[in-house]
Amino acid sequence: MKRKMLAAFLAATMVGGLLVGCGNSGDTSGSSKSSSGTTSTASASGEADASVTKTELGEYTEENPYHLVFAFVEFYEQDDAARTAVQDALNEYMIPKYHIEVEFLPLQYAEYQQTIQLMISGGDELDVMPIYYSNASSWIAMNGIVDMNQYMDTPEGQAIKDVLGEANATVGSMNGILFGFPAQKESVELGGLTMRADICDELGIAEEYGLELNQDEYTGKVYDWSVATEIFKKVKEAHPEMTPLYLQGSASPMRRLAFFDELADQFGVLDWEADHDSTTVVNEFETDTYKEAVTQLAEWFDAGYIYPDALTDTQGSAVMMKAGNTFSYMSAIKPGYLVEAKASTGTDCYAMYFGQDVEGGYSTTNVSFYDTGIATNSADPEMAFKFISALYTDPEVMNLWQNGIQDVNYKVLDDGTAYYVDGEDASNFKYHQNTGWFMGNQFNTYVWNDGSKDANYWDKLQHHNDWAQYSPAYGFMWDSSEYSTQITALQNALNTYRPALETGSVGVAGVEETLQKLNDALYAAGLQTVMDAKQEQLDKWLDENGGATETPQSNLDTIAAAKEAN
Amino acid sequence: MASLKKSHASSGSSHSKAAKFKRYLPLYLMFLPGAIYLLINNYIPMAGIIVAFKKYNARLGIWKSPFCGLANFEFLFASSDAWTITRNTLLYNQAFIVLNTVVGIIFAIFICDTFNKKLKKIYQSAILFPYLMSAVILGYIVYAFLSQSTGIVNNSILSALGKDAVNWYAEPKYWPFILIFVNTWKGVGYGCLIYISTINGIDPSLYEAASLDGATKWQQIKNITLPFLKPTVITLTLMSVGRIFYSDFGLFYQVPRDSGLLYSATNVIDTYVYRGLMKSGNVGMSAAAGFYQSIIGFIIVLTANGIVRKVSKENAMF
Repeated sequence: MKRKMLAAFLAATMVGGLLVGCGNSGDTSGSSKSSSGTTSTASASGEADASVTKTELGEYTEENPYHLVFAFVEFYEQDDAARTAVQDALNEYMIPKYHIEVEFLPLQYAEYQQTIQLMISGGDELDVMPIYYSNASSWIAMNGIVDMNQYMDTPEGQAIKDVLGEANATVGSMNGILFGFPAQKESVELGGLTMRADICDELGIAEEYGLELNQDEYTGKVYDWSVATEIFKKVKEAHPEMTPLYLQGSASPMRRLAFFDELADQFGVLDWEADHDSTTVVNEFETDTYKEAVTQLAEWFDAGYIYPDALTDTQGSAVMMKAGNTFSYMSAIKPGYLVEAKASTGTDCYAMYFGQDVEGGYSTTNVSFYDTGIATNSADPEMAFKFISALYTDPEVMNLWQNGIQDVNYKVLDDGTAYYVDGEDASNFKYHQNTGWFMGNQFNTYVWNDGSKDANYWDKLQHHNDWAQYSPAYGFMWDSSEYSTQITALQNALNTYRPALETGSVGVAGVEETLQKLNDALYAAGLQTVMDAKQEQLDKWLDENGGATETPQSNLDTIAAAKEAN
Repeated sequence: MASLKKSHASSGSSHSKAAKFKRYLPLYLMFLPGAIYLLINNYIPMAGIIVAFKKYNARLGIWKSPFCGLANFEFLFASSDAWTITRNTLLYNQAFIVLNTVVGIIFAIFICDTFNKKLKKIYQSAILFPYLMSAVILGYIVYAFLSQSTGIVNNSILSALGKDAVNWYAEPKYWPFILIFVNTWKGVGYGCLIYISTINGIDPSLYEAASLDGATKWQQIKNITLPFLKPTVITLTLMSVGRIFYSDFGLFYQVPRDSGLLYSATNVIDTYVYRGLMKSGNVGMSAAAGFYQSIIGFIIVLTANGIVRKVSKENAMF
């Protein structure tokens, strides 16, 4: 009998424990819901004066601010306590001025897309969020994003237009739905090789091409890729143990070799290299431009210039450069880039711009790569929009979020730039987001003085954009939501052959055959259907837009002047 | 258990349901936590299967989203990939089931016949060790053998034999062998452990009697060990057959290092769905793929169990 009682007791405690466990978690979620409920319901006591922010859905005051969840990506590890302190400081500023109480929701880059997708699906509390451009169509299709067109005529909307310019402010649109604003940044992608400085010095490469440390601003000087072949050859002869060029299958180097307006997903593109004005959607993988590019890579691979395991390597250029047996890697280059390169590779580097006649095409994809938008989970999207507007227009908000609290997390130097406070540096800082290129208007923050930049650095970056020639389809966003079946199959087909082609691993002998296989697989997966639909949408957009987008005259002048000078 | 038997005897005269319930109450209570767990974790989410037939809309939620018929299933069968991935999934899993059973039993018999107790323990642990390894580490071990620049096979073995290096990660034809080898190396320990415990449970007097009657080692294995192993083999096989439509994602994704050229030999349903849906993030399609896998798996288990019941009734699971 005793044993029976014992068994019953044990069972009861186990069940009890289970219920308690459930009860607890249920409680917390319940309480967080109720707190959000109180913040979002309008307070009846508020009166119509400046101390009240009224929206269609509610009224908010200093005592009863709107509780806003702000999701963003942290690329560097932040101290939790420091982040909380910054959030408090931000709210001290936000609540009286905007009647918004911000809650930070930091996410990791590797998982932020899935996390936000799950939050949207699950109806979690979420207001302002980063949107990766290729997720936009599926998130709109599942009704997860608020169309911000309705707020564009408000003073806040006008302020965003003033900052970004009319064209960039509306670039994050799809089928008339404005889903996000791009970050204020250099959107033109110019690039080339980042090379080890010591080897360049030793082999006379630096002398031959006039390379200098920290010389990374684009001046219109751009080399043909055949020049790179010469450089690789020299390196290989002098240092047979060294890999002249590191590539990896998961990161496409195609942007460095040729510019296509990918029209969001590469399935049907504009062959900009062949014809700058064409608005005909073509299959990228059947173009001569693509074939020439992959043949060049295959030649390098056969000659032993490319890392033999490039196809499957996952280590990344920084690790390989640090290991000491890699000479160069391909990347986008911009002013201030070489300091970042030194930090990640641990060695001094030179940069050289490469490309054909390309000055860098300016496309919807480039500009709206990362956008900031509002989740439909938001209890009051109008308030969320006011916060987004503040990210673009209020330097105080952007500086607090990006750099933290002045004199606690950063100090302002005499020349108007900012740096870590005494005792902190890049290795032990507590709070420094450094992600203004991802969300918001970084031109409103202090220039970070990492040794290469001065106070007019933002002007330089702005100037970098002057090199852009616009794709005729700039502003057009392809809506693929009706074609997700085909896109899934196309993506699988592309994944099968793209890494092998774009690391040169197939060898010159295999280029033709592999391209054929790729194209067969793409057409079998429905490429023609997708291209036709894309062309139809593009034509419709061209009609509405009143023709193709043209490159601003000032940009053309900049490019022409540089051509003459070189 | 003794007290339970006693209480059974004492209340044997009353057969009312209430008394029966009261008698087994502690057992029911003990069963309850597991049942609640199963209910919350396995049964309630089954309702989510409905998403597979809906055009999912986050604002409307699971129940209010509009139905879209079988549109979500289209992508699975839209291209010729459907045949490749279904074939790969089934054939690999068949090979895995057969090899893990056969090799597992062989190793179990060998290990049980080891006289040195210490060595026996070492062998047992050594064979289980790969099973506990994560697929990422497994992938790197294979990479250490097969990589172009530093791999042992290309740089030490093939070059010593005077043969050309092989670009392993670009040649699908080698991969059925590589994957089956790797999976056997990794997975054989687990089944082996179960077989060892079964063999240890066989009455030693049977072997003594057999050897007194002059039975050879092989005859002992054939007539004593294997028949005793039969129920274990059937249970383990039935369990793996139920999962024949699922594949070890880590093995098929990490070990071939996600190399595109190998997809014809390494793409299985799980990796195909993962690659496709990581990009598009379509909830309905993911649910459709899960639905397809579990329904087919369910049918296969029922069929397999039906066959077992026909062949030897006492070994069938239900």
